Amino acid sequence: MIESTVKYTPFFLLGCVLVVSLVVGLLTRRHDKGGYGIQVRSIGHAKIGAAIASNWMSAASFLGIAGIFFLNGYFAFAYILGWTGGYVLLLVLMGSQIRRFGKYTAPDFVAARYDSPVARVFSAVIAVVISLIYCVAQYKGIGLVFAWMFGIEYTQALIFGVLVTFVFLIVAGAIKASRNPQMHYLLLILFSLSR
Amino acid sequence: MSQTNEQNSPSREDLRINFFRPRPGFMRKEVTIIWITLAAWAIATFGMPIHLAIIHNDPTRTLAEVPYVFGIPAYFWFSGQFLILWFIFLCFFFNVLIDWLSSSYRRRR
Repeated sequence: MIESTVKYTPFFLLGCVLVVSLVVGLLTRRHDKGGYGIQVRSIGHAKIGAAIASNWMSAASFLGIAGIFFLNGYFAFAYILGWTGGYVLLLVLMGSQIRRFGKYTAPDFVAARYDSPVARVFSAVIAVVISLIYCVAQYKGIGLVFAWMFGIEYTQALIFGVLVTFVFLIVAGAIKASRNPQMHYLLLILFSLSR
Repeated sequence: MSQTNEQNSPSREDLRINFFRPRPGFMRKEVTIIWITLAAWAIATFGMPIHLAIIHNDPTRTLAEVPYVFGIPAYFWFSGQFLILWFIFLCFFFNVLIDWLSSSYRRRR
């Protein structure tokens, strides 16, 4: 059961991370709206690697995979290998091809390849549905962490966590819009090592 | 970098591209690299589970015979650490080879 007390040390750590992320996000904010979501050309190899790695190490991988290991033992490796090995398939079969094609997102590629704006809309809708499914796992993790940290109900914690995430995303910028992924990469490695 | 954008109307030859029948030159070499990477990926990913299943279904052998690496069963270490590092290595290997290939063909042109 979740104890209903406020955990001050994790709260302090999370607060520090959020504040530092906000400051970094504000300092390195991009002023052109075009490159807000995806900007690939202007990012170096090591930086994009760090961004991918910090996306890999999410709430789902820390909480969900630990839970699956608790339930399934050795066979939980299927999940880790599934999505880590998937990076190789993605790179070999798709990434290098669409990079040479000159399009950097799946909807752009589909629209150019089949020369159809309808296909672009379908592709974008599919991408949004996939990320919705992904977000369910992440927000479940956020809700659990906030409920544990503040000792409150799961539903309230979830709403609070979503608000915090929302503010954070708007102010500090989404994926790759700032230096935040690279900083989170370092922080996640430091925290993992200190466990 | 993007040849497709420069040619607005691709020729009929360019439209007939088959991954399983690559044309000689750049495409054949690229497809060879892709096949090598995919084979290295598939053998490492599916090899150990198939091997484990064979051991598991063979009554004369037991899982206890599996050697230990760093104090944990070898298959556990293999899936937990080696495969992740192997995937990273494969990505690196593939990128280096593809970069080398495209730069060598860019110079030739």
